Amino acid sequence: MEALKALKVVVDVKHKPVSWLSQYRSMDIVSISVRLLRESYAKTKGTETWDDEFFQKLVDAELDVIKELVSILDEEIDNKFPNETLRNVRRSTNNILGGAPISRANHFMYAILDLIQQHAESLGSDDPYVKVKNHISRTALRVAKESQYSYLRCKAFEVLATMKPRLADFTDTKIEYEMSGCDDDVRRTALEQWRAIQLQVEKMQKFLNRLSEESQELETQIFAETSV
Amino acid sequence: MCTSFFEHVDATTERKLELHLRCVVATLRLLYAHGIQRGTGAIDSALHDQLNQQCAKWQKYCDSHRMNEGLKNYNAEFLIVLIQNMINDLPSNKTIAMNLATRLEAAALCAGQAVVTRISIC
Repeated sequence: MEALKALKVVVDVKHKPVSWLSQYRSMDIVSISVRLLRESYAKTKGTETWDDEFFQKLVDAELDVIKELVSILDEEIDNKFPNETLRNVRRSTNNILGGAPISRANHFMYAILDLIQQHAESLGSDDPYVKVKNHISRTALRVAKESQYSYLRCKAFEVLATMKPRLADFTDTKIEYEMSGCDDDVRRTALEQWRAIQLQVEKMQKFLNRLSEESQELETQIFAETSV
Repeated sequence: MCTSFFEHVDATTERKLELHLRCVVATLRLLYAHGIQRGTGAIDSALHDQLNQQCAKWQKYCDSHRMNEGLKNYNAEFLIVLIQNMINDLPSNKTIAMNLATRLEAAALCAGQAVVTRISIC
């Protein structure tokens, strides 16, 4: 019996998943399903018959998903940002020892911002989306302003930089105005980060566009070779 | 999965790594979606360990490199943590062993009870 108990200990998974994983995965599944439906509709609306109200229902569903994500984020900000000092010590020690990566205390907020960014990348310029875009930019600005952690501020800036071309009245002045209430050091660092992140987003977009073009060329080439 | 990622490093390695990590997340998402039933051993424990080791390598690279813009690649850092957690949440054949151990323990308990009963009858 003791041997069996020992075996159970040996085979037990040592690294338990983080507590927020299941909540994140649920939101991820909903988000990706809505986006896939939207893409499928956009591709086939000319060739297949869709219900007249389908697009409006899809827009409503997507708006609900984004609103829910934003409300989770608002709730997390209201709960204040957990202190990461001890965790950072653990992370540093772990990195030196070459152990498995340890999550940051606010990685759940990061995950939600990442989901929002995925939606923001593909939001149309239609009227119903304007409200949501304003909602997202307001929350992202709040994260950037209130977070004392660079990684969260950078992610919030990344969301804003992704949406910037689609937001009519969004300029660098808005960021400067929002950050004006912070300490001089924080404000200076934040503005540097904003400039760097904008450049980073732009380069990533160019990199993805180039990859997409290359894969299309390759596809055409393979098709031509196989048809011969 | 690319295991020889850092043999040739250039200006786009950070972006390639991030894209690669997003592909790994998408693959794991598909594994979840198509349903791995507990106890089928869909993920071999050796692969499980290999994936975990790979996470540590990616993490090491992320910690020692900065993007061209001077910032750390926080997206890659987050994706590595996410991948590791998703892997650890997947059942492996270690899970089978755990199930087997639990069942053996239960069976042994039943057998023990039966022996005690027979002795008491005698």
